[in-house]
Amino acid sequence: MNRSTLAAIALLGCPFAAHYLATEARADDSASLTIRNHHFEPRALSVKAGNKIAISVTNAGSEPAEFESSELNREKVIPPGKTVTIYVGPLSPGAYPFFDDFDQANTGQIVAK
Amino acid sequence: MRAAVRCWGVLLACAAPVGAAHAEFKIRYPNIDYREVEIENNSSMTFDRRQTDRNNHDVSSPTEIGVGVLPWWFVEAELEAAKHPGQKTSLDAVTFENYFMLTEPGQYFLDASIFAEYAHATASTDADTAKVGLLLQKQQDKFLHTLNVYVEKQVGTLSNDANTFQLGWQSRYMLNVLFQPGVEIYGEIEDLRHPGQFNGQQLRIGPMFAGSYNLGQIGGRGKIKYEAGYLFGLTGATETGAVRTRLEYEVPF
Repeated sequence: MNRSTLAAIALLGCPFAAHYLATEARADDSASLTIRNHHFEPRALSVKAGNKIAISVTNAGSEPAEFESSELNREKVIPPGKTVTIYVGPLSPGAYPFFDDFDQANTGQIVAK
Repeated sequence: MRAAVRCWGVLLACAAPVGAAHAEFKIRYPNIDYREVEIENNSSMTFDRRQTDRNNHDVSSPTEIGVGVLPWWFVEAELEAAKHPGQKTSLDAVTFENYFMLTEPGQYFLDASIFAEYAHATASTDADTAKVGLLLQKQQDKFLHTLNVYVEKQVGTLSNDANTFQLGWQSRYMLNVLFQPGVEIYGEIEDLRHPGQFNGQQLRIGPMFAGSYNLGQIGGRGKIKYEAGYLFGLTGATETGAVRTRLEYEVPF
């Protein structure tokens, strides 16, 4: 087997290795947010510091929205009427602001305690 | 002897893949920005105290436009402008890039994407190239670690048999949105079948910083992102230093 073949096998094996490495880390907590009338509800979401959180974000409006937070390194578009799950953490204690990138007046924060 | 060395240098330069007198200095992130348009410029310039023909003042400035077509698919078209030592500024290649996101960010231990690129050489004497790779990322509290690994191969009638291996690593501290310091490593083995001595491979390490500014704060739309860094060459085949910048405007639609 020449080195080209080995390289090809190694490359093809990368997704499988990635899948193996990407063993699912189950979220410790769950929380939910709803975007309604151009506002996040609730605007401040309290979560437990040190835990991995699965946040279900529902867009109850009629236009697309995007949950975005530079502090959390997350961007996720939510089509109207849909719910998406955003995984964050484990977080250190503190406040992590987020906003709707399609409607930047719509802001909120996750508070990890 | 000196003439022989010079001839060997010219031959090496001719054998190098398109636009790859030095490896690309760009870390790609696996997370996809669905429904966003991104316009980006990545520039770099090498410096070499040894004043070698190949490594000193090699300038690369690809500009690209990309769009998040699907939640798991991002495409980019790129124009690779460059000025190689002793040559005029030229358009080296037109490149088509694809990102395929494999994991939801944060759901698993690692975030992962597949990267695939085809570069069409503009010069009739250069070969096209195809590149595939894996983009991995791990966030640990305020530290963000990203690993890129690629294999690149020339294709078409002008191609050679070399399989080029490229590696990029970045770890940065998310101090705040505007300023995130970190460190980067870039490496390249020009032909995996003939890797040669370690000193003949390309390896660089250096500090970098990155940040972003949300234009919504001043009544605008979209976001500006930047990165800048300096890389120190660690092997004989690498230039002694290189500066790189990245400027990006992204806007949702």
